[in-house]
Amino acid sequence: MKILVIEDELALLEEINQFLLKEEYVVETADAFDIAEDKIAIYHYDITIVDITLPGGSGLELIQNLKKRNSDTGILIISAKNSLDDKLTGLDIGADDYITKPFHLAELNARIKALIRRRYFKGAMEVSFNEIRINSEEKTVFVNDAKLTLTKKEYALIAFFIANKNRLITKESIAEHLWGDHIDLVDNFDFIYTHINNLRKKIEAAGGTDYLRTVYGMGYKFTDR
Amino acid sequence: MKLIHQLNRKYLTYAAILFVAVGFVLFILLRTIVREETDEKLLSMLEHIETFDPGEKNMFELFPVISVKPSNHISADVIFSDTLLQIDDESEVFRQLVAYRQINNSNYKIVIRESSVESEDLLVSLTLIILSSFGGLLLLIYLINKRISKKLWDPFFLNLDKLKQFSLQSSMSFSPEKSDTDEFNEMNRVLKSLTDKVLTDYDNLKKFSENASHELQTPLAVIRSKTEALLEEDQLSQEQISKVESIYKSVNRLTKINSGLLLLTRIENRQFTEAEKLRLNETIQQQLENFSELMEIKKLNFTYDFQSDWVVECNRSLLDMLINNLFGNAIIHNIEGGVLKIVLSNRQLAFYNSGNHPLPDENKLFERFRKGDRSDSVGLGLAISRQICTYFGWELTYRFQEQMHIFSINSDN
Repeated sequence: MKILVIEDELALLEEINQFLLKEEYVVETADAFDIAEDKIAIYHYDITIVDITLPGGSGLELIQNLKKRNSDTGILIISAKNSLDDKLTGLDIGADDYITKPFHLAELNARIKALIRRRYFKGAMEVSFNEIRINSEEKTVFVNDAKLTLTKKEYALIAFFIANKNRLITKESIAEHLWGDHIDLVDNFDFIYTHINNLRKKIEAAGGTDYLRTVYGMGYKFTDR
Repeated sequence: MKLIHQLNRKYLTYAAILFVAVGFVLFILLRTIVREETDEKLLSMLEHIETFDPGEKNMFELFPVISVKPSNHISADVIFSDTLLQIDDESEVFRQLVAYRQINNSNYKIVIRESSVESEDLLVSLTLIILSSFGGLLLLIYLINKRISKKLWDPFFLNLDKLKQFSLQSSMSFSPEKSDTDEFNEMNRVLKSLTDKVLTDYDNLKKFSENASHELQTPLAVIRSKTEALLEEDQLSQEQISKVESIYKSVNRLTKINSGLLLLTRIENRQFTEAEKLRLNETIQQQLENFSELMEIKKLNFTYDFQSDWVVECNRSLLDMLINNLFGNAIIHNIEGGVLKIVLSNRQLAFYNSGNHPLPDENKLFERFRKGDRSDSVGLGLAISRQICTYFGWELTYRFQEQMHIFSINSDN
């Protein structure tokens, strides 16, 4: 998968770049409107991540360009503005998803994976991690072919963990993933703890391994290493 | 008191004092003139009498006007005085002149009198006429004033009404009507420039807060992603990890404060203009799905008292946020195994949740950065909820009753 990241804040661009490289994508970056324009004109990307506010032009314009050249590119907008207008315009002219700064890298990662699934595997891709298998279309989870009965939040959790496997996933990013950025609810980690415990029990009851490691009070890591 | 009444009252007071003074002076003046006239008349009669022969009887009497009697006394003086005489059982005031004169070698005492009653009458009627014409004038001036001032003040009151309707929220500039009065125009000009300045300042401030919040998002994103990356490194010591951890917690807190403030600003700036017809029951049902697991975790006893639906025309994302905040609060601030009740009827929605003590400082409950018992909360949830309610024209209130916290939304229209 080849990804182009267009973001004018160099420090953030670098971090996204590093993060995506670890996920074994081929990543190219552009930190200004004209550079991005050139790259779009010459190369083909599977996924393009676009910041809306760029020096020299608007990210929305780039999206229109992209759609004209190769319409199969998956487009993810990152914006500092959490404004519905921008979001609607962006989605209207062909962007697939919209994420607001400041985002968690794990969230960005999950969104990119979901986008790839939707665009290139028609949503019907099965993701598996050893004996655990997720069908993202039916939102079902199997452990050794035994179907788990999960609640919505538990499903969202396991999908989020597997999308970010072998990485530290902070409690904050889990909270935001589960409940959005609703102000006061996000901080309530007791709920996350309970959800995770229930999930653990269900996986173990189905004969699966507990891959979830608690990482020094910061969060969790879903790993078999 | 109205200006016109104050003016009239002062005007009338001073005018009355002036008129009394003028009337008094006038009376004195007229009386003096009348008396001098009478005295002159008496003197000229005396001259006539001096050329007159009183006859053999040596006396002449025409009561009460003239009396000429022989006398031994001789004096060149003429004495004027006021005297009271009894005529037909009535006392009348007379002006009298007493003189001693020698006529045909005999000495006489001559007394001439003139009734004062006529002159007094004259005096009184004169004074009355003058005073009543003054009074009439005053009344006329008062009426004219009243009539004119209504017309003159009309533009003032019109502009006052406009000023009352001036609001920062509507961002409509104040445009006063022109009047023929320079003073009013001057005031209007000052008011206009003042309100225009207030509007621009307010606008700039709003833009500034919004821009500042937006500008903060990118650096926050940088800090957050860098710390997340740092936390993933394997070589960190426990001490370093705990430092990075507290940076991470702080930046998350900062992020939440910023996005909360940004949201408040955007509601204040009325940027949520899209409105659609929504059923509150539907919104609650959707949220219920989100929250049911949380309620199970807390073992809450949940009831939904659906009396009638409330159909509103408003912004969907704001309504979602409002219900989400209140619903979420009712769960988080509930006690383990407590009660959570939602009551929905037309134009009223209330969230009940169990609690041990009423929240302190009801009035400050909806202020920004107001924290409850949880120190990790940002303290913007209720401020945002109230702001949304205000935006929709609803009222959000809190009360504590029978060991229950109750947050209710009411609408009058």
